[in-house]
Formats: sequence, C-alpha cells, structure tokens
Amino acid sequence: MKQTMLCILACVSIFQNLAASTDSVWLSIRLSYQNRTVQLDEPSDSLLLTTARFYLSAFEFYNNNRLVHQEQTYHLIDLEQPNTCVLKFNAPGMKGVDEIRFRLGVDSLANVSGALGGALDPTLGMYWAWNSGYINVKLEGQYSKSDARNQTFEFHLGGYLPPYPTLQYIQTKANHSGDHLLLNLELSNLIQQVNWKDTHHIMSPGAEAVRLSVILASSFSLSVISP
Amino acid sequence: MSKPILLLVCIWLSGAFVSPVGSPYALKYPTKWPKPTYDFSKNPTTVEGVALGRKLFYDPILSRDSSISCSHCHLSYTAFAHVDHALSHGIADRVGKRNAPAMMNLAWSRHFMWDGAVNHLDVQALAPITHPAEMDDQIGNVVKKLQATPHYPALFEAAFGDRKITGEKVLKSIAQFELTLISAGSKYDRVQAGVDSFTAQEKNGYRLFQLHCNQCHTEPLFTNGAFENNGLPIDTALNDKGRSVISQDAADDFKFKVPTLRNIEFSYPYMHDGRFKKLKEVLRHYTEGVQVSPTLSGSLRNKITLNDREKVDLTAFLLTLTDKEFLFNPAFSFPKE
Repeated sequence: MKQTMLCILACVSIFQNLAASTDSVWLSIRLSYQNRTVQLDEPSDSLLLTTARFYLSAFEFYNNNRLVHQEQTYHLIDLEQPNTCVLKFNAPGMKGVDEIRFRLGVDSLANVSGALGGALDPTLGMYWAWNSGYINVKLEGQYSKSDARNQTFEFHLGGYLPPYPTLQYIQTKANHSGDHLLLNLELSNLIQQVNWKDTHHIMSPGAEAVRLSVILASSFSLSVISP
Repeated sequence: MSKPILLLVCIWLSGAFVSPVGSPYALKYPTKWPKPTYDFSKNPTTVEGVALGRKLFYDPILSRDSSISCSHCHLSYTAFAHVDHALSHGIADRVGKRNAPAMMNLAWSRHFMWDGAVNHLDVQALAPITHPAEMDDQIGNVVKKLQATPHYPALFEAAFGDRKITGEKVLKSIAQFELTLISAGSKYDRVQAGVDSFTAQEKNGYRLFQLHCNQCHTEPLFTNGAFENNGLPIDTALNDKGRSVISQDAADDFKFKVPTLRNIEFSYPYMHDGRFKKLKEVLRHYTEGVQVSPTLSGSLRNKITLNDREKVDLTAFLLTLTDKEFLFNPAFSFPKE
C-alpha cells in the first residue's frame, strides 16, 4: 500500500514537472482566395466555397533550422467547424517556431491499416468506401467559369497507390519565429490552373487529382500572428 | 495538471487504434496453413467483439430503411453466398452489377470485392453499407442509429470498454465476426490430416485439379488471392472491366479476384456475375468456352481438355471441399437472443 502511494505521488510529481516545462505553439489555419479570407457559403468574387476539408499530418516544428518538436498525428481541418482550424501543439521546451513541415493528406500506411479512429474515423466522410483510401482534400462549391451544371465543382483529391499518390510534403517558413502562427492556403493558383471546361468533378484517384494536390501543396504560406 | 491531460487527449484523438476489451477469442485453423495476412494486433478478436459483430451482421439497422442486413446477401447455410441470385440486390429491389461472393477464411485475404476495391477486411463493410444498390446508408448515420438503440451501447461497452459508438468500432466488430468464419473441416481437410481418404474417383479428380486448377485456386485456401481474366465472354449489358476500374491499368481489363473453391457445392451461382448456375457449366466454360484476349490468364492459354468421365471425377473432388461443420455451425447463423 505504501509503495503504491509512493508510486502515485511520483507520477503526480512527474506530471507537475512536465506541466511546468511544457510549452505550446498554436497554429491557425486559414483559406484565402486572391489574398482575401474565404468563408464557407459566402461568395468571394467569382468563387463560392461550400465545403473545405483536408488532412494535415506529421507535423515538424523548427526554430532557426533546429527541430524542436514532431508528432505523427492526423488533423482533419474543416472550415465548417472553426475549432478544427486552430491546432495546439504541446511539447517541453517548444517555444518560438519559424518553420513547419507537414503532409497534406494521409500516408499510405494509414490507408492500408483498416478501420481507424479519431480524425481518421470513416464516419467523418473522408474515406472512399468503393476504392479504399482516404480523401486527402475535399473542396466543393461554385465557380463562375465552371462548365458544369450550376457552375459547380467537387474536387475530392485522394489516392495512395502508384502511379497516382496524392500525399504531399510541405515545408513553409515564416520571416521570424513565434508561438502563434498562421498557416494560409491560397486558392488562387488552384482556381487558375483548373481546366474548367473539362474538370469540375474529381471523385477518384488519378493524374488530375495528383496535379491539383501538387498545386495545393505549393499554395501554403506561414506567418507569425504573435511572437 | 491540465496541460499533460490535454496532451494525452490530443494523442488519442489523432488516430490511435481502439483497444478491445473482454475475453480473447482464439481462432482455430490447421497448423499447415499459411500465416493469416490479417494483423490481429490491431483488432484482437474477443468473445464480446465477435458477438457484437455477429449481431450487427444480422441486423438490418445497417441499411438506410432498416430492411436488409449483411445476411440478406450472405447466407450462412450457403457459405455466405447469395444462392440463386446471379447479381446481388439491395434495398428497394435495386440490383447490383456483381454476384455476392461466398465468405470464408477472410483472415487470409489481401483484397476484397471482385475487383479488389477494398484493401482491408475492417473497411469492407463500408462498401455494401454505402452502395446505393445495396444498403444505401452512410456509416455516420449507422453509428447514430446504433447509439440511439437501448441495447447496442452496452454491447459496445462490453467489446470496447465504453458506450460511445464510432465507425471504427462498428467496422472492427463486424470484421471480428467475419474473421471467425473459418472453413477447414471438409473431407479434403480430413484427408490432408490423414484421418480420411479419397475414393478412387475423388483421387483422380484431385489429380486433375492439381493439373488444371491449382495454379489459381491454390491449396489449401483454394485461391491464390490474385486477379485473373478467366476468359469469360464479355457481358455487354454489364460491360464490367473488373480490376482495371480500380487500378486504372488496361493490363487488368476483365480481371477479377480468384474466388475460393471451398464449399463450391453450395455457393452457386458462379463467376463474378453469377452467370453459371451449375458446376458442369463452369467446367464446360474452362474446356470449351475460354475467350482469348490480351489479358487472359497465362494458366488458361493452353486449352484444358477433359472428357466426360474426367469432368465427373473433377466434380467429385470439388464436392470434397464441402464443409458442413462450417455451413451449419450455429455460431455463424442468426444470433437468437
């Protein structure tokens, strides 16, 4: 009994010390179009976005080229749910970050690991039932140049198998370091580079899904909200 | 204390596997069989998990209008195939494009569905649950329906340790039940174990089987798990290209997953589109009906010749793959309360 109590006290002490030394970095995620913040269901010039969901995973945090924290976690960002657009990362001694590296999408191992939970639970609507695998990015809405009925578009970008793997590795750096950073995804490049006469709906893996994923990967930027 | 607790919660939310609780459920299969491909460390079978999966398998709550269950197309007494139905049919009498395949020995399968569209047993059930011509529901909605029942939360608690139902838990429990569907008690198996013997006719059929069929329907599972074009004439009404729809590779045109031959006596109709009702039609196809095309299986490029007597002998051997312990196992049938 005495040993058990000592063990509990030791654990409490370890947690208290960890709490004292754990620092946090906040990452706010924003979508923009022509450098203006995009809100769901609110037209922004010629673009109306009705769904914007995507996976960010495997974050690495750097300060002055030094890795300060990394974690193998998956985050489903959903503009419909503002709480998913602010991520908090905790780690002892993690203060001041000026660069992050991460993946846009879900890695191939998770794609072949059966039913998963948390952010990867199939109930979240980001899993293809008839062609196993995660949808890395889901963008839906209307665009004035779309030739589709009602000028709609649906881009469900996913696929992990060669020759069309869509997972993207992203590295983005801010001008200086901070504890609260803004990760911005600018949609202008994507919108400009879609062939709107032929491409309005992508619902399965393929070359076009890869092409658009690559464009999106190059459209992230990092800045500091508060040092 | 709040920071470490938050950290632990974040890690849990980020995709860790759910941990089953309860009593271990040991699967039994012949020691000479290969190691299962299913990773049991990610979803250990438990008595409670299997019982829950079995209940779900037989519960029409998985379909949009609660009219059909998995067992609607997969009947235990016919090796979980849909006897007499060439093509599967779902809610509102909607008809699909393919035959509902037999289900057994799934722990050894690497791909699921005729075209291998599903890459893991855990997520296989998503396909029929969401297909408009089958159950036509969404897994999120199924979870809500289950959570609202008076009895399911307690069953999930018994299997996974808490009453909150998730898609992961639904799918893993169904997979647990399906993993128990092991057919290894046929006469063939008894002969292999040295406790029974083939008749002269069966023995000759076995010889012919090994000569002409074993390359794709490989022992002891009677499938090599690969995708092959077995030379069926194209059904122009369905125009089903099979594996290439998934792989997007023309080299896979008209290839379908090689099905097991175990319990073939009961799993008719045969082929991916259920075009053959009888085994003699199947043998006639392989001896007289194979259509040559660029993707035809290499095993069928040389014509198979069998006289009538040999066809009878081969059929006699195929009937030794019937496993009545499996077909009539009460642990696999509708769970009576």
